[in-house]
Amino acid sequence: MKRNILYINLILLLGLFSCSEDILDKSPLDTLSEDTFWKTKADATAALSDCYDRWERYWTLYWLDFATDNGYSQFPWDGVQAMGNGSLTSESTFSSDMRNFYKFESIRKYNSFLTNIDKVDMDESEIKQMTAEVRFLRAYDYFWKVQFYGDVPLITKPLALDELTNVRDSKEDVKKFILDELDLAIVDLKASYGPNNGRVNKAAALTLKSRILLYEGKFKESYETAELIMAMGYSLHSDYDELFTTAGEESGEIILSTIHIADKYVNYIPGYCYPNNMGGWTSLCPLQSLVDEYEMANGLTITEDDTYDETNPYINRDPRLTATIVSPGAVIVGTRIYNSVDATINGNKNTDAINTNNSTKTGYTVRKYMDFGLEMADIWNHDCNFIVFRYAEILLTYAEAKLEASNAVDNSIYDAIDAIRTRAGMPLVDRTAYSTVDKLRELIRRERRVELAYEGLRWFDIKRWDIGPDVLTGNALGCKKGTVIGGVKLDGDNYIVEPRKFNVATKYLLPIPQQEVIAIGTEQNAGY
Amino acid sequence: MPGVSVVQESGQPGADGGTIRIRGLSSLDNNAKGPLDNDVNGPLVIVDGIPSSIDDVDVNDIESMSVLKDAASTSIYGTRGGNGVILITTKNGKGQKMQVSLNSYVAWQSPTNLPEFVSSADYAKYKNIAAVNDGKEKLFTDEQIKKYADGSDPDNYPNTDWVDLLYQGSGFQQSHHVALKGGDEINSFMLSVNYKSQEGIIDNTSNDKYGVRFNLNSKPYERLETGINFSFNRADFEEPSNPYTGGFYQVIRQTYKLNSTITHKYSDGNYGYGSDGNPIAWIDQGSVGERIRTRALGKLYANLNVADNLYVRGEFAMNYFVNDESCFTKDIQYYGFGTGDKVKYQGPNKLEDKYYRHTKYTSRVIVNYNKTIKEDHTIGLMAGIEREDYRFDENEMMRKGFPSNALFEINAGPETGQTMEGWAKETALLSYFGRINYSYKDKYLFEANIRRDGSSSLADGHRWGNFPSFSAAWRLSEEDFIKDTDFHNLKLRASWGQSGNPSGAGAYSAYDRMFVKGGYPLGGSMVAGIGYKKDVEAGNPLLSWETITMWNIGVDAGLLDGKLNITADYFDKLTEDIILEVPISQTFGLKAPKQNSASVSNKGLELAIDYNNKIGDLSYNVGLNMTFINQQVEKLDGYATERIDGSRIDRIGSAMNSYYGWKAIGYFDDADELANSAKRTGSEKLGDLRFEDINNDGKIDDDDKVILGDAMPEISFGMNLGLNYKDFDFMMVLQGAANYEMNYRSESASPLYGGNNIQQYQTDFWTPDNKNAANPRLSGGATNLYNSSFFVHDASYLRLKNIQLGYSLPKSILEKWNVEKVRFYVSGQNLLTIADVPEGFDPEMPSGNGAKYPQVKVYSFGVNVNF
Repeated sequence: MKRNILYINLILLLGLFSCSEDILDKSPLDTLSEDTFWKTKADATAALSDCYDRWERYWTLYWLDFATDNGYSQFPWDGVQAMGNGSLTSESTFSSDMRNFYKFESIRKYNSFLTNIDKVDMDESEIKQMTAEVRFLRAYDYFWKVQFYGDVPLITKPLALDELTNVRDSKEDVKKFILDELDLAIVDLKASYGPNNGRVNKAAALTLKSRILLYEGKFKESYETAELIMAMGYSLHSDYDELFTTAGEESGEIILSTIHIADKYVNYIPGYCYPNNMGGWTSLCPLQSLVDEYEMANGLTITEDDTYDETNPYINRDPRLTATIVSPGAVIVGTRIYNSVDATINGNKNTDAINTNNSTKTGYTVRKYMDFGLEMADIWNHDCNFIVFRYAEILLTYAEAKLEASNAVDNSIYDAIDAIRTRAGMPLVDRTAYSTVDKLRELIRRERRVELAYEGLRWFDIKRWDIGPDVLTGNALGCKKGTVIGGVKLDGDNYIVEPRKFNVATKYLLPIPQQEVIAIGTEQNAGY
Repeated sequence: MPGVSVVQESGQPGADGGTIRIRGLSSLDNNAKGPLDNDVNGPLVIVDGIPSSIDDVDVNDIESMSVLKDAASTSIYGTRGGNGVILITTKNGKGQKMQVSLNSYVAWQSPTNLPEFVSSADYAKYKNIAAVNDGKEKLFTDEQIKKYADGSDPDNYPNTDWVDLLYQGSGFQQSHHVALKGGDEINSFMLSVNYKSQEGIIDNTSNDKYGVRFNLNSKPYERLETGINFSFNRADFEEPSNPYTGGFYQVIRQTYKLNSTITHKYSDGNYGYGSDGNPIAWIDQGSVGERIRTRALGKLYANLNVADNLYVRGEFAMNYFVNDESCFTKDIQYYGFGTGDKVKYQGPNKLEDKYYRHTKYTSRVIVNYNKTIKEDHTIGLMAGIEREDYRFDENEMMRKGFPSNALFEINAGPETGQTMEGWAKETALLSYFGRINYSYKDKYLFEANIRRDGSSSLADGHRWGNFPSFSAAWRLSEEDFIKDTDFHNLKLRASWGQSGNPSGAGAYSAYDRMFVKGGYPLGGSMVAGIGYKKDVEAGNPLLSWETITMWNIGVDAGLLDGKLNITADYFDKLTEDIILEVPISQTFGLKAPKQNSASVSNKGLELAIDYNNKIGDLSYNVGLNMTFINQQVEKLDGYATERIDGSRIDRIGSAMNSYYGWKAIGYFDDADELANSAKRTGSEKLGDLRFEDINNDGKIDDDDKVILGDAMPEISFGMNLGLNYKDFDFMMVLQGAANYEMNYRSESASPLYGGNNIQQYQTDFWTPDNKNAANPRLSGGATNLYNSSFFVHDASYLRLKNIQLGYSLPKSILEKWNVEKVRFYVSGQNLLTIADVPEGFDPEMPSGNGAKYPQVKVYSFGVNVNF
């Protein structure tokens, strides 16, 4: 018996090999392949959702202003500090939270979608609709690429390994492609999907178009495009402060925002930017230069108004200053007062003071998008949407493009600016002081800078106005030293934040990533 | 043993196992991990015929261990055999009377070397110097510095020694092993249990291991031998976690980053905090990650003598490994001192449970035939087939925002924000193999092997590889003309062989894979997405085997009646078609697929000399082994020139993974030098590092970068000495390596950058009055942090790895007690190290920022008893 059992065991062992070499065919257990995908509407929707994933990031738009005279990004690893002070090299990297400007991961998704969507069995109108959305996303991605790199490879289909290229298409070709694609998308995009939706609509595509035309100096076409949007029923939100909080997410001013949901698609701005004393990292520090740009409440600039008090510069100012920036002595929320200038408070060390880790390095911290009024249980789990396009930009684009196109002052320009100022709680434009084209241009540019501060547009404005050599050099300054205990009294010199220099040779372009240059042989931009 | 290097990277309980390398690297990167987080360069460890882990064998269970290094002996193991094979056979009580043995020790560990940071007053002073150097505001007033120095207000002006606060663990260890073995002509067995407990020098670091092993061998019939080998091991591992990032690493990193001006704990009992929290508070609070690993290993075998000299052997083995992790990270609220305001919060608290399982079945049938013809000719034939089925399963879940830090189980947490993940993969390997050997009069020996492997990780048409090997040996000592000489033994050996390795490929690297992903809140709520993942490589159906080809020539010599034994080997190992993600243009838009690309070679000389002798009651042995390895990259297909990854480079003709950067040749010592030397950015200042302008074009750029060294020792050596005098025994082992470098990066090397601290050795910095300083001027910026030779240190070392003194009770006493052996010993590990590396680093520690559980000294006391 024993013997039999052993023989049986041996036979069983041999039996394990009786199967063929088929055992070596193992398909992935939890993934799909192209062969079985692109069949149903569910497939198309899932692919569309993947296209939208990280199509734009609050990081990119918010942080980018801190590479300009609007602010200082205190942590070098975030990447924009080097961009701001002119020390960017081909080895510099941006935080992974930032848009990967040179990467083509998103372009691949868009190209794959646009190549395959026709295979899906669903309504022709739905196919058209989704196609238009993805066309927009692709155009938007190339908009960043052409702005930051000039000539870039223009890839419009998913490439096979033997089709890859290191050749950069001319920026003119890329820009033409973007505008052509936007025109195609505009035809099929819906006017709206309802508020707080996140899907690309017609006005978004028109906004991008008018923006690009403005950047390209095609002023007439730009304001004509803006006029189309002005006829679409958007309006300015009554409360500027509220617009950038969860309470303002459904505002009629918002053309398109990225949607955020707690736990699932999180907005981390409060964690990064809350002051040290409230548990944040104070990553982004506004500069004095922007603070000085805000007018007095009466509409005069700080140099024009004798009542401006240098030692307490934050009173009687454009209300957008306090809505955008927290200055020393300002109330953050409730009874919590922000103090970055006194080393000690009541004899105890002040952990928001400038010399503390994770405290501001300029004396200021940001308010826009902080949603301080909200009792946040977890500042690393915020769900406020981030606005990509809003109506105020349209009005400012209209005003600027109209002025430049006609080279003359007209009432429609005043009206556009007045609308923005009125909403902010500022007086109407002084028609006498700003009666010439030059003066009005100065006002429009100032208005644009303060209204759209920290929304990712300042860098491009500096670029197209070519004011880098003026505003991106010298010492970046913080607030003045002094005390805010028992009232704001800043009677010292300004904090020196960092020396900056502007690298003219780079022509406002970023370096092509080093690996792309070394391994692939892509030509590097000048100045790097 | 020559050709085998064992490096202990850390002393952390449960993570203190050595990294084993046999004859260098078979990939470009020493730390390369395979798709299962397996060590790509590590050897195959076979315990009683089953691939296993060396961590799961108690040293007291080991009967014999051998290391197969040359291709002729490893090729029969096919895949993974190319990195060498360690064969371990555990004990069995064959033909012995019943024996009980007990082995125990207690031990304490302490750090070999810790970083030393400056006091708070000095920190403030240096921070001011750096700020002024950078054209910025001073951060501390003289009055503040004075307060830091006089310690009058420890709440606001503390002088915190974070390193000292971290290393408060007991470091106590104990180990016990009891075995029972015995047998007769038919049945024999061994049964052992072991327990080892280690507590670390940081609180909440520990590892407790339990093991059982049972071997049974039976010969119920003349022609049949059968048996089982079974082992079960469990290791309970603990390490602190943290609410900032999770995991242990940040606990040490933050300790080394936080400066002494930050208060650890205020007088009101609340914790202070730095940028990213307070690592000591995390430990005190008890955020702990636990990991329980269990491995059950079983083998059933039968060997049947079918006919004269003909055997059929069948084996079936199961290797079942479960990793069960649970980490409860507690949240922490910090309060403003004096105000009681809620300030920083790190949380929410969360529980992460992770469970994964490896299941592997190995089945093997082997037919053996041996025959000796006319006494002089011995022939052996073997043929076999083997199948390996492997599956990996993983499930993870997380809940956060528990009502209290005292609740530890998933059900106590809210569903909001919970996450769950799970995935699996399968691979299979099918192999046919055969061997022929022939020897003539035991004087001339020949052997040939062939193995054919098919792997499911590779696509059809590319999945099969054939790996032959040949070897020959000549025992000169059997020849008449040697027999009368001093040579007790003399043998010449030569071999050539190939083996394959698919481990650079993942289970599904051949396929394009679209994943179901989180997607985007389209329309306001999440819509799952489907698409490629940016961290998963595109598929490559052309992927094929990595092949290792090795030559070996060796000699074994025994002299002085076997008292002196010398073994020398020369090997030449070439690894081809190494699987890499060859960089491709970003325009592809997916992660680069894996491709067969590079070749690397390891050529080396191994020498082992052993001498043993006896003088009166003193017997002694002295051993020396040395390995010289020259390794270099031979080929890099698909790369434009070389393979550069940040501070590392692979260049044809140079060592793999060499450090790459600028050559620092001093500082900008004066205005002239600053004006006239080549510069990197143009914003350099006096006291900054000056780099060599290799191509003399007046600027420092990528073209001036050079190879700065590499991490693999060209020479490694070991020495051992053993003495026995009457009832005393003594043993010591020295270990060393030379001609290699370490690259100290990041925080460790960048004082005051970002929120970094500054170490004592970094306070010798450049000033106009101290131009011969060891470090450049102080700066909070990155000017001096480029990859350069400044950070690359010669790491050659000599270490007293182990020293032991033992005393056995004399026979006279033992006989009275009816005990066979009682021995006591004291021993010490890593007691002495000679190396020129900065404080806080260890020559066995890998390059990096040093934020790692340190290397430790271990003092132990033990006893061995046999009944």
